[in-house]
Amino acid sequence: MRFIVNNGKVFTLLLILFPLLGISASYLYVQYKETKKEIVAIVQESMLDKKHELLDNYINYLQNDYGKDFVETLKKDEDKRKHAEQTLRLMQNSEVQYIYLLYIDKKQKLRYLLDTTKEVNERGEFRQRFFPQKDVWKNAQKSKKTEVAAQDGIDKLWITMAYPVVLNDKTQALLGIDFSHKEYVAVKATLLPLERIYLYSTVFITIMLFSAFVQLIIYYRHRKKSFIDPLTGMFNRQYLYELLSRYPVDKFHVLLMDLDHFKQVNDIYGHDAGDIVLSTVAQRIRSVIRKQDILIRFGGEEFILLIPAKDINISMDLAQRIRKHIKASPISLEKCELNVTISMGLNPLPGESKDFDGAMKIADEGLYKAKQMGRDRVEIYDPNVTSKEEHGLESLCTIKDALELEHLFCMYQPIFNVHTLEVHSYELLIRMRDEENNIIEPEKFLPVIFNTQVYVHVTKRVIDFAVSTLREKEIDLNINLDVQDLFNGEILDYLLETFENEPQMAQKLTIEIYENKELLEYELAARYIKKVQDIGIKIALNNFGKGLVNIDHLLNIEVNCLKLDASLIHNIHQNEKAQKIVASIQNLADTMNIESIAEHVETKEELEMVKHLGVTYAQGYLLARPEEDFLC
Amino acid sequence: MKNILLILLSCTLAFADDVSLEKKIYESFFDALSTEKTPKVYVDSKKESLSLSSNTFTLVNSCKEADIVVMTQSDLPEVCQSKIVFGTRYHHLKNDFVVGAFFWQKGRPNIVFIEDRLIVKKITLPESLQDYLE
Repeated sequence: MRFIVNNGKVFTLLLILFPLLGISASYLYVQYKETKKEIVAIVQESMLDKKHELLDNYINYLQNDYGKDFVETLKKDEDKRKHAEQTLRLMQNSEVQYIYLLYIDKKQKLRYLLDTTKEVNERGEFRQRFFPQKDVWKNAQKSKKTEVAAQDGIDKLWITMAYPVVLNDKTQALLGIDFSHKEYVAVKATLLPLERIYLYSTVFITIMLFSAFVQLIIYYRHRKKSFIDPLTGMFNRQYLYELLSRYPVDKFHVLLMDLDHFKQVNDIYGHDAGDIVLSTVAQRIRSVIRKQDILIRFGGEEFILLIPAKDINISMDLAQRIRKHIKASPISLEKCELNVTISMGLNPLPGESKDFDGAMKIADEGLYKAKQMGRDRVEIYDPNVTSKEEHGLESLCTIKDALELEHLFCMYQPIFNVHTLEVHSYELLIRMRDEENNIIEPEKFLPVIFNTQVYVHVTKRVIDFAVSTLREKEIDLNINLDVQDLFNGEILDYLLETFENEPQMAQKLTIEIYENKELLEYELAARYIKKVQDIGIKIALNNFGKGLVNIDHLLNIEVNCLKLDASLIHNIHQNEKAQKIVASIQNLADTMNIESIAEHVETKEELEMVKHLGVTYAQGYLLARPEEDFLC
Repeated sequence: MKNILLILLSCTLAFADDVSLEKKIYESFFDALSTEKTPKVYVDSKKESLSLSSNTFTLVNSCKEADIVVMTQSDLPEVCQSKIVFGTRYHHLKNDFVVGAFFWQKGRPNIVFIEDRLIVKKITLPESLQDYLE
């Protein structure tokens, strides 16, 4: 939420900035208009000054020729009026449209005394009333100063100048000049190109700014959308990285959450059901968290909650509340109700990691610790107490590093024909090398990565090893996969894509399946196994005779080989029950035309007994140990 | 009324080419000069602002029928001179039968009513037009 707020500040800033730029552009244009007015005013003033001087001279002339009371003299004498009018006409030029002298009668009305206008209809006759439309005349009369007014409403006229003729400190008459519009038009025409440049620039800038502003709004809307996961309505991974580019990771406690057995929900109930589960879980989490907590769908069924770093107990309580709320009631699907649980890993000290990925690894360790400990729980990973110390397990980080650094490698153990003691095939066994170059058994690292993407990568690496081995050597090869791997679309697709165009190579490969609960989903398991068998790969049931691996599997799944569990083979020569079971299994295998392999054969007596019981193949330390460079 | 006339004149100035406004000014004069509710008006030649009748006056084709004659030419037939004649030029006022005129001079509107002639025609102008009496 903070990030959105922060972006909001940028947005608000731009929201203010853009109109300001628009206003600035408009201000420039308005300033230009003001400047234009000033230029016109300067031209006007210069023009008026000249005329003012001429009018002064004219009034002096009238006073010299007709005396101080020239207004009365002119009223009485038409010849003198004509003469005075001719003199007044001398002042008329292209600038001046009309020039006339008005006297003020007893009723304070203005009347024409002289008018230089030649057009009959425009000429004011002596004594004709003059109807002023502006206060300029009254003002000039009162103030005894020249007044000027713009004639906006009159065609051909620009401004009118009212010049008071003051005699004995009283305005006796008013000289009027109507200036032609031509001068104004000429000034305007001179300035027009400049005005257009200003106008077009302002309009262009305003349009561009508006367009940029709209683009900005659209950008921010899309940006906001791009941070939201459409399925759950929560923030997505992109938002997380954007957030972390602005805020240091140590501001938060990192809670990594992963839905338990979600893959099965998708596989069994379909992706639509999976989507319902995800969105319901997201809503349930949201209903529990506080405003300041940031929930992110990190991908798939993984969520991250960034909790403002305060007290670890607060974060732990919050995590527990989320966990309890999710499992409190089942999620309703179309045909059934589903109980959902969630496992969580909390990293309360993300600041101790060098970056967010480091902090995530720690939370990831906590999460997988929770998974290991039975799921539906919250675990805090303590980097000072490693899994290795706790359970003898490698850490997830170590395994990831091993994967990246190519520290995973394969060993090969031959499987012999019991009767001829010739090598029939080899079992490929994955191993890891630690920093001290010690070889780590898969039991020490596979459980840690089980259900993680790292596991998928490791499994793909096993398939890659098998492919390269089969390409190099003319042998048959067994690899070990958990049945869950076939339920994983990514692994199954990778397997099928790798072998479907290599039928000869596929026929040399046997997959030894370790069973777990998924194998009980016979219908689905049979479908996936058939896909694998269709491209020529054989299927062996591993650890047959132990635990869940039972005859029921043979009813439901087409199996090519049974691998007898070590518990049956160990000391079989001394164990009559084991002998009877193995004999029965072998009888069953023979009847169903299925091959059998005895594993962990460590003594000659065990070998002799399995041979006696009819088992086809055997492997174990007696015959050959796994070797790294046995073949490759 | 005076205010309305001033507004009309101002509007006419602001939109000098707007004939409808000039028509409204004429309508106010006709209302003042005639006692008829809808006076019959005769215009001696085409005048754009008086080319169509309105609610307040009716245009007629001959002086005989008219209550008011608007003179736009220099001469007016004798038969028309007995009517209330209103001029459209200042020099129309030189004819004794013209009671008033409305004309444009130097871009400005001018209104003149001759008081003596109004008296002869027994016309009393409303207060709003008193200022234009000569």
